[in-house]
Amino acid sequence: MAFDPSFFEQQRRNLFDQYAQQAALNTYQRYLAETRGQRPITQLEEAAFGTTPTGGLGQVPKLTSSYARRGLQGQNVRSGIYDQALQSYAKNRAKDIGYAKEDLAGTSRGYDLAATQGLENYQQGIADVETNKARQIAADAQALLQLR
Amino acid sequence: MAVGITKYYGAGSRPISKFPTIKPMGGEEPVVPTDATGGNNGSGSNVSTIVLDTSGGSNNGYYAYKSALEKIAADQAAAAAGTQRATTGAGYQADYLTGLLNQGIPANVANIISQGDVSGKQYIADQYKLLADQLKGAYNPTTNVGTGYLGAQGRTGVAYDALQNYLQQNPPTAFQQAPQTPATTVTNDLAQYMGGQGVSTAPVDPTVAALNAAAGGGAQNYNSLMSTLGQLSQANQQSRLAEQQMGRSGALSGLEQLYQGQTGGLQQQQLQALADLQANIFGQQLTAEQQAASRNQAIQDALAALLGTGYISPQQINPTTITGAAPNNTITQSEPTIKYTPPIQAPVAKTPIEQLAAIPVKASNTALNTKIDNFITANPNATAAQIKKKFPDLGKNIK
Repeated sequence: MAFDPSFFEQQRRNLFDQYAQQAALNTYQRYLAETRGQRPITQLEEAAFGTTPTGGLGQVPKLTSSYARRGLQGQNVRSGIYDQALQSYAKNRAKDIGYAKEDLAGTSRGYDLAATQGLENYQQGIADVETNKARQIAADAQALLQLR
Repeated sequence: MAVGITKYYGAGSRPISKFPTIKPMGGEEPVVPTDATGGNNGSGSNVSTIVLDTSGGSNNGYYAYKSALEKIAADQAAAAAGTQRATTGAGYQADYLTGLLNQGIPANVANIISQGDVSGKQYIADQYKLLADQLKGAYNPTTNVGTGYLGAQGRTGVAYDALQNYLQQNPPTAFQQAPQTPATTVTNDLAQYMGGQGVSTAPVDPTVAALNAAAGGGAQNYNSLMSTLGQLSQANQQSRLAEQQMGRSGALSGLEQLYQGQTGGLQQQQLQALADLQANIFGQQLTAEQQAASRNQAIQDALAALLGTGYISPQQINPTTITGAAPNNTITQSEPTIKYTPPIQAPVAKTPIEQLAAIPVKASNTALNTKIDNFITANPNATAAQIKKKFPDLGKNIK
């Protein structure tokens, strides 16, 4: 079989197209996942402090007012119940935000890994094409010599 | 008209007392007259006398007789001259034939065969070199164009050189260049507020620490995974380079094996062609030798036939030097000493009268010689018994 480099060029092009498509899809999905993952974090943060008119977090937690109405919290008023409730809330809040952040990070890492693997596969595929090309040239050279 | 004839007889002769009767044309044979001695052999003691032909033409018989005698003498002389010529010619012929003996293969034929051998070998060598050169081919590294083994070798080398360069210049970089993911962090963002409220943050801190630790572990695990995959990719790269080297070696070995096989086949064809040529040359030489042997045999047969004529004896055949003028040069050929082997001749039975004639008698014994001659002339078909009766002593040798 005579050497036909266009055949390998076709393979290279296909590999690149496949990689580009996969990378684009992965990037888009990563964006969606990041948006989706960031949302509960934002909600948790806003739930604790409220928001300012400018969109920032407020200064007073919402839960304090309910204890104040019941006389468990206020100026010169201290109760173990309020302290414990505030500490428990802080723990739960930290956990929820931590878990949400870790979930978002894990999801993002998954997409990063997919992108890296896609690039690796593309590079290995191109190397395979180059290897096959050299092998085909050698085989053609031998076939031509065999014809003599 | 009468013609006078004088007949002189030598000493010891005697006059013929009675002339022979002349045979008339168509008549009976005249009776041979006898002389006074009764022998009619000319050995008489008397002297002849002059005889005049006064017959007036009636002596024509005498002239006829004389003419017959002269014819016999002329015939004898002619026969002797013919024998002499035949002997001389036979000698020349024998010399010529002897000169042709054992000359072997003619030089021009031998030269043609030899030239065929040399040119044939040269042709085979040239053809082998041509085909071997074609098989080996040539390669131009600048243009990457070539033929034959060198072309295939060159193209294979260039292909794997290109692959090697590509692999070395394009190592896999995905995992190596992948960003290290940072660990997520969690803080107790209510700590300031809790402090303001006089609430201790200590119970919250372990939870925050545990969350950060878990997040750090997750990030480290991911980064470790990327590092491991990067090392795997590097191992793949090394394997690919080794594969390239193995592919190059295998391809070049295959080419070498193929080339050696083709060269071997070519050499085998060359040997076969040389063997065929040698057999052909041997065949031509054998044919030439056979023809030379046949020619030599024909010459020997001719010599044998020449000897059989009896004009020459084997001793007369001597090696001779043939000198002749060729169209462009002078050919001088000296024959080596030839041991002549006389041909086997079947004994020729001689008649009794021939045996008598062959018996050697001293020349001084003229009487006996004459008697023998007369007897032979008078009795050409005499039997052995007649000869023995006439010549008792000599007759013992007659078979």
